[in-house]
Amino acid sequence: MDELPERIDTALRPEESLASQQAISGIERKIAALPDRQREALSLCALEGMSNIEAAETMDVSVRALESLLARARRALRAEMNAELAGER
Amino acid sequence: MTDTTVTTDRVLELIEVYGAEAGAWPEDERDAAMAHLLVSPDLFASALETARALDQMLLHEDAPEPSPALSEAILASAPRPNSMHSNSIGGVFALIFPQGVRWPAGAALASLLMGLVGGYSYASTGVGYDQADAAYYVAFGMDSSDEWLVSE
Repeated sequence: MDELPERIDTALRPEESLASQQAISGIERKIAALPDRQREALSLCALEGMSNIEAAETMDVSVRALESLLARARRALRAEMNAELAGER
Repeated sequence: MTDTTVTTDRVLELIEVYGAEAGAWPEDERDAAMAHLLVSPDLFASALETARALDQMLLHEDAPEPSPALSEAILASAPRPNSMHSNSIGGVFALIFPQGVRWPAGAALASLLMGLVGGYSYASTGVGYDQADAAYYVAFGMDSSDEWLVSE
């Protein structure tokens, strides 16, 4: 009798699932901690999918100013993530 | 219009500002930036990897609540619906519902109005109960329902 092929469970293991949930919950806190304008710029472009022109018009700023806000927001989030990773080591 | 003069610094800036996903880059610079990136991908590999890690986190993030000022700005810039006063039907609606039709309150009011109009029309033109009964009794040679009951 042929043996059934081994099935690979692709679901996250409990500890991986927990780590993923903690990371998502962590990013929510980090976004909430951003300065208002940076959070709004990130929310409009990265989360709501507005174009840079639409987002700039909505926030009543130039596209260059919007890009500056976005860059600062992403840098701040990355710095937080890196600090967190460094703390875990 | 497509920008064909994208520099290495600008591509790095796009990655820094909009993330690693080219679909998020400004449309007018996207093609040129992609072409530039494909010429020497090693130049951008590190920046793309760094940005991708954050993109992955943001993918799982729901949009946070916008500030009240931003909500007001978005609502103020939203296109206005066509005015209901622009035609005669709209004018009638505007007269009946000056604040606009609100379901289900609007539907309830419309039903009430139709019921009142229909009921009034029937009452004013139709034969009343007593008249119909009297005609019935006369047809059978009786003066009233009393005689009908006695005869049974």
